[in-house]
Amino acid sequence: MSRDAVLNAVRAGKPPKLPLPPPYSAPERADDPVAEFARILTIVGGHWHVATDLATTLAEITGPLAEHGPVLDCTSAETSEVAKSATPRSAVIVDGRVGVAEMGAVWVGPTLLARSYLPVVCHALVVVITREAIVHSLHEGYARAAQYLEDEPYGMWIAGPSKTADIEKTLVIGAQGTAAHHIVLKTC
Amino acid sequence: MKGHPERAAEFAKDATRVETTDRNMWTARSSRDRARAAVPDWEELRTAASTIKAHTMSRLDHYLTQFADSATANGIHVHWAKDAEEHNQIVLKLLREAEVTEVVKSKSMLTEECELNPFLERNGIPVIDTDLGERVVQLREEAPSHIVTPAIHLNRGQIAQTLAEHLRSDPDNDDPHYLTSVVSKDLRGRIHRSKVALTGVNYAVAELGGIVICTNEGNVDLAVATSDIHIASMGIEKIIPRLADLPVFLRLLARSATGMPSTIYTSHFTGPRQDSTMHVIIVDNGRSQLLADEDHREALHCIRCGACANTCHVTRRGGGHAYDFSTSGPIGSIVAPARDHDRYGSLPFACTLCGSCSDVCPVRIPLHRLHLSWRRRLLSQGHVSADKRRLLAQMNMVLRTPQRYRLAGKALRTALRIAPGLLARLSPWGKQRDLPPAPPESFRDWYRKHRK
Repeated sequence: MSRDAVLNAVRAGKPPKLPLPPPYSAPERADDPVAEFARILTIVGGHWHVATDLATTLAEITGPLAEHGPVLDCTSAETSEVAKSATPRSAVIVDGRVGVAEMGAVWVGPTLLARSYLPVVCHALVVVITREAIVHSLHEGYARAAQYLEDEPYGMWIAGPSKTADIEKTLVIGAQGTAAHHIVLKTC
Repeated sequence: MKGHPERAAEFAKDATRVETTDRNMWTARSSRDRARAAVPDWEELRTAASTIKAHTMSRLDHYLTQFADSATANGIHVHWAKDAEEHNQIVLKLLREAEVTEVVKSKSMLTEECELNPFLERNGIPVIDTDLGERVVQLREEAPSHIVTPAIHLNRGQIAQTLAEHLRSDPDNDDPHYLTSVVSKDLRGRIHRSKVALTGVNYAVAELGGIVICTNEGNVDLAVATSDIHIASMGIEKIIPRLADLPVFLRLLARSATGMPSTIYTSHFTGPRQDSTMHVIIVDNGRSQLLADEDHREALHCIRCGACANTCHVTRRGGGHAYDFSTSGPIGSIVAPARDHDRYGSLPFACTLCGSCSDVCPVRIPLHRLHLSWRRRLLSQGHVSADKRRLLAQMNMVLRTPQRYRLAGKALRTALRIAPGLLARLSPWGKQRDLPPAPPESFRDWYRKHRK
C-alpha cells in the first residue's frame, strides 16, 4: 500500500503553512428567494407550479405522461417497498428538502428510495417543496443540507432535467436522466 | 519529435474543423460571460476559492489523512496509488475479483491520464465510456479534445456518420436530439448490465469523508445506483477541507464551464448503499512533484472547468489534440511539461501571453505567467529546440542595445520596401499572411520630428 509513500512525498513538497480562511459568507439579498427560484428554474429547463390543491396539481402534471409508465409517489412513507422495483416510471414524485434559488436546485435524498437512481431514471421528476425550504444562496443551502449528509450515504442537488450540449454545443434536454423536471410549491 | 506547432498545423489543414472548434468553444466562452455577469460576488468567490486551495495545498498531508480516515469510518475502501501503473493495477484487481467482462466509466480526466482504458482492454476488460461526447470519441478511437466537452472538435455530420457505423443509426439524420437518443439508448442497456461503475471525483471533502461528482447527463447516478461496486478515482489535489467550502467551488464551476448556474446533478457519495461496496483510489502520479515546484504548484488548484481552453485563441484554432495530453488548453501547458520536459516542451510556447486565461480562471491561477516561467526553465535547462534557441539568441542580440535595435528596424523597413515577397517567404509569419506595408520611418524618428 502506497499510503506512506504518497503522504511522505506530499510532506516533502508542500509549501509553508497558510491560514485557513473563515467560511465564505455571501452578500445578503433582500428580495424574495421563491420568486428568484422560479425565475432561475425556467432558465435551467424546469417547470414551476404553485399548488393550492396539491393532489389536483400533481394529477395535472402526471396525467399526460401515462404512456411512459406508472407514477411513483415517494412523498408518502408506504411506498418505500415499491421504490425498490426498477420498472420504468413516467414520473417520480419526491419531497424537496432544500431549494436553492440562485441555481434553481433542490436537495433530494434517498430516504424512501432503496434504489437511489429513481429520480434520475424516470421520464419526469416532480419535486414538492414548501416556501420555507427555499433559500437564496448555495451557502445557505449547504448549511441546511449538511444534516442529511450526516446520516445518509447519498444525496444530490438536482437543477433541472438532464442535459447535454456535447454535439456542436446544441442544448438537448433529456440526455440519460430525466426528460422533464417539475417543481411544485405546496401552499396549503 | 512533433510538438504543438506541427500538430496544430496538421489540425488547421481542415478549415471546417477549425471553424467548428472555434465556434463551439467560443459559444461556451460567451455563455460563461453571461453567467459570470449574473453573480455580483464573482471576484470575491474567485479570491475565496484561491485562498482555500492555497491553504489546502499547504496542509495537504493532513487533509488527505483526515479524508481517508473519515471515508474509512463511513465504510468506504480507500486505496493509495503513487503512479498510474499502481492505480490501474488496483482497478484491475477489483474488477477481476468482481468477475466482470465489461465495465462502464463516466468521465474522468485522471483515468485518461493513467491510460486506464487501453490497460484494461489489454487485460481483457473492455471499458464503455458513458459520457455522450466521450462515447462518440471512443467509438472513433480518438482521445477527448476538451476536458468538459470531449467531442467539441466534431460537427454533427461527422457524429451522425460515426454513430451510423457503430450503432446502425440513420446516417442522414444529423439532428443532435436524434443523435443523443441513439447513444443514450445504447448506453442505458450497458449501464444496467454493468456490475461495476468507474467514476472520477470533482471534490473530496476531508471533514465529511465523502466525494462529490458533478454531471449534466445523469450517467454517473444511473451507473452507481445500478451497480454493486463503485470505484472512484481521484487525484490528491481534489481535497477540500470543509463542507462549507464546497459551495464556493460549485458556484464557480458550472458557470465557468458551460454558463449554466450549476450542473444538473451534484451528487454526494459519503458511503456505500446497504447492498453495495464503494472504493476510492487516491492517486499521486506526479502531483506531489508538481507540489514541490514552487514556480508552478498553483496549477494544482485547477477545478477542471475548461474556461481557459474556451477563451484561448490558440486552443480554439489549433484544437485540443495539438496538446497531445489528457488535459488540453492553457492549463495542460503547465501540467504537461512537469511530467516530461522534452515531450511537452513546446506547449508553454503555444501562447501569446495575452492573459485571457488568467482573467477567466475561476480559481485565479495566473496561467500566462506560469507559461512564461516554464519557458524560462525549459530554455535554461536545454529543453528547447535548436531553431527556437537560435531565434531567441538573435532576438537577444538585437534587443540588447538601442543602436542594434534601430539598425535592425531600418534594415527590415528597407527589405520590406524592396522585396516584400521574399521576406514573406523567409519568415514563418508570412505563411498565411501578407506582410504590412513598410512605414517610411520609425516611430522614434517621427516622434522627434513632431515633438516640437
